[in-house]
Amino acid sequence: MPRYFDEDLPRVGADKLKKMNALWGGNNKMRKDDGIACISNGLKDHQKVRAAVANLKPWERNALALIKRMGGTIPSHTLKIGILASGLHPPRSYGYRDDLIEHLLHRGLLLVTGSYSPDYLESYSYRSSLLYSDERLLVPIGQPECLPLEIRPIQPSGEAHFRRPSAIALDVMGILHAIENMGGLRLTQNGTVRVSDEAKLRKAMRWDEKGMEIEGFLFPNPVHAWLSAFGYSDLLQKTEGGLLVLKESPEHFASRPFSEQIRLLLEGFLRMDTWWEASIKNSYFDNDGKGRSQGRMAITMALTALPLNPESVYSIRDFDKALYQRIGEDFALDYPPNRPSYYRSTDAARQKQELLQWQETTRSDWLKQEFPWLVGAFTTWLYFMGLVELFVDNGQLAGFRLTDTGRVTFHPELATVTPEEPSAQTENQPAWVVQPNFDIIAYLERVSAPQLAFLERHAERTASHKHTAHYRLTRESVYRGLESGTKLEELVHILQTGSQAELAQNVLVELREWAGLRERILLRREARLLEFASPHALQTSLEQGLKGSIVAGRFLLLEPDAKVPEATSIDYAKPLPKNLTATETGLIGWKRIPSDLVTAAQLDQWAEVTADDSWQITRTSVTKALKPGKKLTELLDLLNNRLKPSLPPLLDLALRSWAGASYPIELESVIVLRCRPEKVFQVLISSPLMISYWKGYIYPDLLFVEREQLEPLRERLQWLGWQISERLNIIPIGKHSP
Amino acid sequence: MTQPVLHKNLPLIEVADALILDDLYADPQAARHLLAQLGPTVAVVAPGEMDNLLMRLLKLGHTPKVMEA
Repeated sequence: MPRYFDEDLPRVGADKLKKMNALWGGNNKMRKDDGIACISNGLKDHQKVRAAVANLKPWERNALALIKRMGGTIPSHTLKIGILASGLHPPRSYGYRDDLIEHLLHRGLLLVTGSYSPDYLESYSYRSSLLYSDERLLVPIGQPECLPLEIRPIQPSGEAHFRRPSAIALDVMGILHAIENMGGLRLTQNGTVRVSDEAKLRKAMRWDEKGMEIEGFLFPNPVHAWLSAFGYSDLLQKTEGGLLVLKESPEHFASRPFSEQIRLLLEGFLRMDTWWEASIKNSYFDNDGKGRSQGRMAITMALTALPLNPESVYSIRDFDKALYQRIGEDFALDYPPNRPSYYRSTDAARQKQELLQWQETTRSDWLKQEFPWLVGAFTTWLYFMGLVELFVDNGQLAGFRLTDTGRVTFHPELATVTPEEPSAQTENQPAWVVQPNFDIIAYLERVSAPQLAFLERHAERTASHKHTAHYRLTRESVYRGLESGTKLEELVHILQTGSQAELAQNVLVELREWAGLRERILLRREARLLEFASPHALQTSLEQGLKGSIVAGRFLLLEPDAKVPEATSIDYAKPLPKNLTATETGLIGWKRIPSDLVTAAQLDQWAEVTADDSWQITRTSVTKALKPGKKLTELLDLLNNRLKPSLPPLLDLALRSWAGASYPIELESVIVLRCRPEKVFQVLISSPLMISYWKGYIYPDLLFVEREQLEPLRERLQWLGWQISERLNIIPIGKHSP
Repeated sequence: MTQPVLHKNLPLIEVADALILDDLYADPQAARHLLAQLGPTVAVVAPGEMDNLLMRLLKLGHTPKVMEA
């Protein structure tokens, strides 16, 4: 959703508007309305916007670039840390670096969103305002710039680990396929994924509860990580039915160039705020995820700031130190470091000593807390997405370098000099081999993203290794591919193009056979069928030019573009008319005008035909229908949707009972003494003299008499001097029925 | 009935061989999704049951072609 300043400007204070005007040629003498008009008009003019952006300082442009990278909004602290990590910013004058954000607001480059006061910045160090910039200002903004890090390359040592883009695409497609095969993930009322569905996804992906291991590196809680990443990358959406489903097919995702896939996923990882790269110390630590979000932004900026030499390997310790120099005094995963306020001394030497002590403590804390997390970032998402090649020495991460994918991602401006992605059309060597036993071996360094997507759609993946992925063509996989819209000739052509060879004869024959099998049963979801009074009438219409195919004596399946003659119409996508009646004893009548093709057959499944358009529902007919697995709700839905007047409640009860429901009913001959005054009733049930007469009671006024005690009870009641009525005063049914 | 009746958005199953449809009607799990048989090779599918029928057909080893109209 595009965001513009116009609606928020009237709520910006006049003093701040005067400063914001300057970017658009205004001055501080302007009245508020004129100031607003000046800014709005400036933003409407593309040329003025370009000129304004061109005149910004590099760090101010960087701020806009970071907002753009985060999709238009950014928490103020994340922006601050991103700017600091870039190395391009004004020097610190005093204390916290909130001056950076204040400056940007006064320059008219951003406002606060989600607040009544778009010019009010949270001043507490641990609270963050959500900032946004006008979309029109972001249009001419490119990638963020960075001051190169002061870091020297090292000689690589230890074991090198890297991942090919195609291997990553395979993994990501695997996760997307698993979500798709599950039919989406069910959400709780709070909008989080149900624990049981998380477990199902974990099981489908064969992930351990602790995490997944990729070439020796542990990736904790992958379900959480990937669902968050996909969500923030706009690959998932919530349905009205409470499901989290894919927004696009796995194949569609995979058909993007690898670099675009990675950029999308990286955006997701940058924006997520609930997943941890390492095991959590306690649930309170960075509980809102803001620290991690800022940290991930800082890492990506620092990687952008690496000196650009493709062969250079850097020590993780050196990188950490360089990053610390940029952000260490303003950033921590939990609460940011508290700079000394010098309240104890005004003496300059003492102040310097206090500052040094504080810096030592801050660095020491960073090494305990932030450094392990930084290593976690390298060995999880940065490595998984193939952005870095890692060097491991004695089981410890020692160094890294940016991969081709990493350089393209962090330096998109170099995309023009980066080799094209592999493509079967340009390579001299085949992307895969199709063997006569239907196995396909795909070479990951040669296969392009669309080719990989094609294999995923038309073959079963049986294994994937560092350099190859193994697939198998099966009847089911080919069927799935053809159902997705591929034609047989297209399938054969792409398989041959990818392998740069003809397919084995037996493979060709089998593919044709499988495609032929698919033609033996056609399921038409929304057919148009024209029913005639007689086969003769149908023939006459055909002779008059009606287009269609005869599917049975009087029925013509119309071609999609066939013009329909004048006809009564029944639309099965809409509710059918309420033209059924039912008695309490289950006799169903159908007034078949117009006569549809489903009602009679539906009733046949549940009832016995008694006459034309008349059916009798019985216990036997219901039991018989339920046997093969039908559900009573199907019959109840049919009756509730089609009956007029509505289903008699007694028949409803009978149907439910025949389907197995039980209702507690008691029937017994008893002698009743009714005693309406509560006080008298209480005395009678509690009297030791009377207790032997009673079998029991139903509150509030019914006492049940032991049959053999009837005469003694009469005598006792006479002794009490009571007049006894021989008839119960009950409400006759029919006269005062509810 | 002199004027024809147009049945719109009607779920249908068409088979290449009448024996296939006979087999499906003989399978209680498939038959519960089938309604009127219009001819030896054509039957009406219960509205809203197409996906369930498709799942049953796949389970029975068929690979039906699913079409919109």
